Order: sequence, then structure tokens, then C-alpha cells
Amino acid sequence: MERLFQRFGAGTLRFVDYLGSVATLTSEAFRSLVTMRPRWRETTLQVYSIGVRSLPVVLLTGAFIGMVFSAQSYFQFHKVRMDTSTGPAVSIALSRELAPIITSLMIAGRVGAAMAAEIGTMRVTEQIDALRSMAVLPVEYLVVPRMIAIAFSLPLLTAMSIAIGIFSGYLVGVEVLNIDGAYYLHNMYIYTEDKDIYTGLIKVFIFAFLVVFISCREGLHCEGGAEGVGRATTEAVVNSSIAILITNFFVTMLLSKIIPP
Amino acid sequence: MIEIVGLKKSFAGIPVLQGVDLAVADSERLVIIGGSGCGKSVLLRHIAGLLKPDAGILRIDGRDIVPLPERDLNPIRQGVGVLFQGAALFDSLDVFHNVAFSLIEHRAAAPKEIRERVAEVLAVVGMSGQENKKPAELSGGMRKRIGLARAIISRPRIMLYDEPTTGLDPQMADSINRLILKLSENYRVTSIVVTHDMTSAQMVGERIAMLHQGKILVSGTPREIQESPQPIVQNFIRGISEERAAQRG
Amino acid sequence: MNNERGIQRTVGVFVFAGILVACALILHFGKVGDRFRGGYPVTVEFANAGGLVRGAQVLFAGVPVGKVGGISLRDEGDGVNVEVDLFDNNGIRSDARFLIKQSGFLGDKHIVVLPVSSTAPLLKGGERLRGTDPFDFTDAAAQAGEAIRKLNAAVDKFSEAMLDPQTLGDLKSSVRNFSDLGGKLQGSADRLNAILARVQKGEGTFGKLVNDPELHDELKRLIHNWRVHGLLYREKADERYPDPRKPAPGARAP
Repeated sequence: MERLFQRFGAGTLRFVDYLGSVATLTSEAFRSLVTMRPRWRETTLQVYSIGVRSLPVVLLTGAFIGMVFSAQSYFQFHKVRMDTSTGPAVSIALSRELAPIITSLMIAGRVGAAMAAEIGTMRVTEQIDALRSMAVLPVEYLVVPRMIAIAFSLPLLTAMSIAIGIFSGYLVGVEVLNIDGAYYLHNMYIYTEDKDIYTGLIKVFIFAFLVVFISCREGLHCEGGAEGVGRATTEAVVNSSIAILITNFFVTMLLSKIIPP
Repeated sequence: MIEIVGLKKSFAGIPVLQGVDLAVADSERLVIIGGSGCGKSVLLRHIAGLLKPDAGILRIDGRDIVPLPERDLNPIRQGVGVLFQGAALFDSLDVFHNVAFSLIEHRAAAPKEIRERVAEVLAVVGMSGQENKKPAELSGGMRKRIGLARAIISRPRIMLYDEPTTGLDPQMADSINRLILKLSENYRVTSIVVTHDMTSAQMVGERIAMLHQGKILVSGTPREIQESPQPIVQNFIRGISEERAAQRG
Repeated sequence: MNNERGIQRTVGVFVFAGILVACALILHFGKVGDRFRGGYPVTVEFANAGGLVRGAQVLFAGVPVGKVGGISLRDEGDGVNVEVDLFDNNGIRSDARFLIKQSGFLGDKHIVVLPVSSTAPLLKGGERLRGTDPFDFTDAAAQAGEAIRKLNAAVDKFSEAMLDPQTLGDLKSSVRNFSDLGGKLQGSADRLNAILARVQKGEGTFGKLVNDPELHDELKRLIHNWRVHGLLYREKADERYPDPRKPAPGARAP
């Protein structure tokens, strides 16, 4: 029994330490953001590897989510002869929830893992120490460009995912399931609002920071050679995905107060 | 002038440094020897400001760097060059950008001057014309040389070498040792070399200090160390394992 | 790093395309196009907004002609002011009736504009109109009109059939018989009491009739109407019950 408490206590302490280290990294990064000179070259390279290289997978998932959601909505709406409601159902669900979450999780998996692995490798091969010994703060050189790049890329990727999801949903709904195209588009136009789009984009903007800080923390605190890098990579993906899903609920509730749906 | 007083550090409750006292004069060449895992590299990292001690004082040019936060360490670090054990070159950058790294990062020179200085330090380490190679294309010894070039390009006053000859063939080790001597003599830099390679220690050390069980056991000229009456020192420099020493009794 | 220029260009294209898509989505679903369509605002007063929301559609003869711009409670505390933004050249005249309706689709509310005349002047920006409330007097009167017509016909038939000499004679003998019935009536009265009790509680068809204030109102109006038309005894038209067919003095459309 005593042992159980000890274990529980140790777990809690570890969790608090973990949150502390992520929070410290976050505050360091934001502090550097204002004090350091911009690193255009590194930031551009990061936008390339985070944004451009993620585009195919994001578009692919976005398209298929739009298609399946269109089909599923149609199956239900068709029972009450409201086929054309599929249009707004697809566009609103995609903008507010599906595209932001799917895109963020894809990025957490693809980019979070890469960040943790890259920085983790640099850590175990003393490249992080080399940076510091040359009077360059790792946060400024490694974290801030990644932070800017992901905070910038993720909303853009999400917007593209929404767009392709709506388009592919339309194709499935109208061309495959024979929903009236004119009313599909009209109802979508009437019932979807700009705030549906930007609540989705605000959400992923927040998720971007979760991914970058959790993944970079894993990399910077990585220990124990190649095995440690592997562990850090897994942790980065799992932890940022969990953080995204949990934060999503609270951000959604908060946003509903600020921007009533 | 580097002064270390009562430096202590432990990792996860295991003490590594247990009160190190050491002073290094300007432009001196000090070699720190000691068995694997005795904390030589840890000591070096403290001097480079990469680790914070649990207790003790570490003065560089009269200023205690222990209480300084990371950001305030940077001006001091710019005067200190470090050659890491595995050279720690940035994999994503080519040789030119690795060597020019600190100049580019700190905007210390115009692009033309940077190119000239890179060529100059590459010539010093005998790697002229290798600017466009990636670290992955280089051998261990070449990587060390590039690492050395990267460390000296900002003209540091103190050079720290972490196991500079480990993992190199004897010929390559010799050329690295020569480079350390050359830099020390040509630029009058203070050099601290951490190694367990006695050949290297005898060759580059003006003074040798032995770290044992978290403390400086002895310190003296290579000759004094050679003739030290202490059995621990004798066993180390002759390469006699503890088991064999115990058998000899 | 010899492809760095290529990377920069690709990043530029990506960022440009991304911003373009994001802006297109926001502008499209923000209905920004509509915002630049010329239009004018009018204020329509309703007793009850009925759950209408900002941005709801306004249909004129089934064609979208504008949007609800805002809803605010009236300072007088007797209803709401609904700001309606109408597009230009919609042909709505100043006597048009504004109603809040529920559309079948997802049960949302919208405003329906019904044309009344084709001669009244066209509606101008900034005008105030009285909207037709979901249960409005005029609406109810229109419904009551039908019932009144049927009742009138029934009453006419009744007088034709009942009020000839033959029937009056029969009636006399009947009255005589009534006194004999006195005793029997007592029993009926008891039964009637029981029925009336039920009526009071609002049970049964008749009970509902009696207890429905709306119906009560309509009946009152019906009786008044009979009076005005001399069916019971002639009386001057009462100001309280204006004739729905004639516009009331001082009131605007309808």
C-alpha cells in the first residue's frame, strides 16, 4: 500500500516536472522571439520541411475525411429526406473539427517525430553543447525557427485540408450519391460562416505550439544514445497527440464563449 | 586565468566531482588525465559553462561564472573554444557553414572576410578546399580537424579539448597533438586537454593533473608525474589494471 | 545547399497558396460578396422576434432580398426592433407585410415579405414598419372571417325554417308541454350540472370552447358583428372591434 502511494507520488512529481520543463521551454522561446534577431534562413527551411513536405499527406487525409463524412452525413440525412443538408454538415464539421484535428495529428506524427529525432540526435552527439559553447542558445537556433514555421504552416495546411475536404465531399455527395448540387452548395453557403473557418484555424494555431514545445522538449532532454532518441521520438508523438486532443475540448469550449457558434 | 575551488557535482545522487581545486595560468597547456568515468569530461564541461556545479567557485579571468544564467554566459563563451569528443559537427551544414558558424551567427564579420577566415583556419588544420563537403563524408580525424577549425575561428583565448585523440589511429592522433601544440604556441591560447592517452598527455602537456575519485590527486610537470611515488599514478601511466595491481599486492 | 533557392521558391508558393485558400474560405463563407452589394436598411417592429437571429434571410415573393442586420429590444418594452438590410432594386413597396416564418430546412426562422398593392410608393431606406406578428390580430381575423361566413349562413337557414306561422303554432303547444315537463326537467338539470362542472374544468369539446380565451374573443367579435349587421339588434360599429375589411384610421399597412 505504501509502495502504491510512493509510486503514485513519484508519477505525479514526474508529471509536474514534465509540465514545468515544457513551460520553461515555452517561456524561453517566447522571450527569445522578442530578443533575438530573426533567423530567416532556418525559418524558411523549417517551413519547407514542416509545411511543404507535409502537404501531400495533409491533402490526402483531408480529401478522404471530406469524402467519408459526406457519405455518412448523407446516409443519415437521407432518412429524413434532407439530403442537401449534407453540404453544410460537411463544410461546418470539416472547418470546425475534422480538418483541424486530423491535420494537427498528422503534423504531430510527422513533424513532431522529426523534431524530437533531429534535436535528440544533436543532443546525444553533443551538437547542442557545441551550439552553447559557441554562445548560441539552442532555443534561439533550434526551437524558435521551428515554432514560427509550425505556427505559420499549420493554419495554412488546415485551410488547404478544409478546402480539399469540402471539394471532395461535394464530389462524393453530388456525383456519387446524387444529391442536388445547386442546393448542396446553396445550403453550404447559407449555413457555413466565416467564424466556422477561423475558429478551426485559431485552434490549430494553438495546437502548433503544443506540438513544437512538446517535441522539442523531448529532443532537448533526450538521453542515452540512439535508444534515447527513439524513446524521445515516440514520446513526442504520443504526448503531443494527447495534448492536442485534450486541449481541443477546452479550447472549443473557450472559443464558444468568445465567438458564439 | 582559470581558478576552480571546491567544485562539486553529482548526477542522480552519485557524486562525480567531490571538491576539485585547480588553477590554470594564462597560455598554459594543462592536461587532465584520469580513468574512464572519473569525471574529466564533466570537469571540462563545467569550465566551458555547459554544466552548473552543485557547489564551488569557477572563476574565469576573475569572474565567477557559476551563478550566471545561460544568457549572461554567452560573452564569456565567445572567448572559449571547445573541441568535442566526437567533433559534434552540425550534420545539416556543410564544412564551410560549420566552420563559419559562430562568425555567421554573431555577425562577427562581412561575408568576404568570413570566407577568408574559413580558408585560413582550414589551412591551419590542413583541410584546405574541403568547404563543400558534408560531415557525413568525412573520416573521424577529418571531423576532428574541422571541429578544431570551427573552435578556433572566433580566436578564443581558452581552448578546451575533450579526448582529442580518442578513436583515431596513432598517426592521426599525432597530427592532432601537433595541432594543439601549434595553436598554443602560435596564438598563446590557454589549453586544457582532457585525455586518457598518456602519449598525448606527455606530448602536449606543460603540466599534467590527475583526477581520481572526484578530486585532483597530483599535479606537476610531465617529468614529475612520470616519477610520482603514488602507486595510483604509476598504475595509470603504465596501464596496469587494478586487478593486476591487486595481484602484485 | 545548392537547392536553397529552389526551397525558398517552393516555400514562397506554399505560403502564398495557403494564405490564398484561407482567405478565400473566410471571404466566401463570410459572405463578403453580399456586403458589397448595394442596399438600404429598414426597421421592422415586432411584438415577438420568435427566435430570429442576425443574418437570417429575408425573402420577398420567395426570392432572397436581404438579411436581418440586428435585433434589439425596444426601449418602450413592448417588443423588438428588427433591422433588416435589403438589397437595392427589390421592388418592395411601403405597404408590404413583414412576417417571421419558420422554414422547413433545419427549422430556422426567416422573414417573409408579402406584397399587398402594386401602387404604394417603393420602400425607402431608414423607414420604420410595423411587422405582422406570428399571432397577429389581422391574421386571426382573416381566419375568423371564414367561420363567420359559415355561421351567418347557418343562422339564415335557421330563421327561414323556424320563424313561419306553422312553426310558431307548434312552438306554443310545445311551451305548454314544457310545464308538464317541469318535473322531468329537474332530473335533466342535475345531469346538466354534472356536464357544466366538466365544462368548467375544460373537459370535452364544449369545455375547451368555453375555456379558450381566443375563441371567446372571436365569439364576442361574432356577436358584435351580428349586431352591426342587424342580425340581433342594430348597433353602431364599435371602435374596439374594427372591421378587418376596412383599414383602421391612423394605422399603416396592413
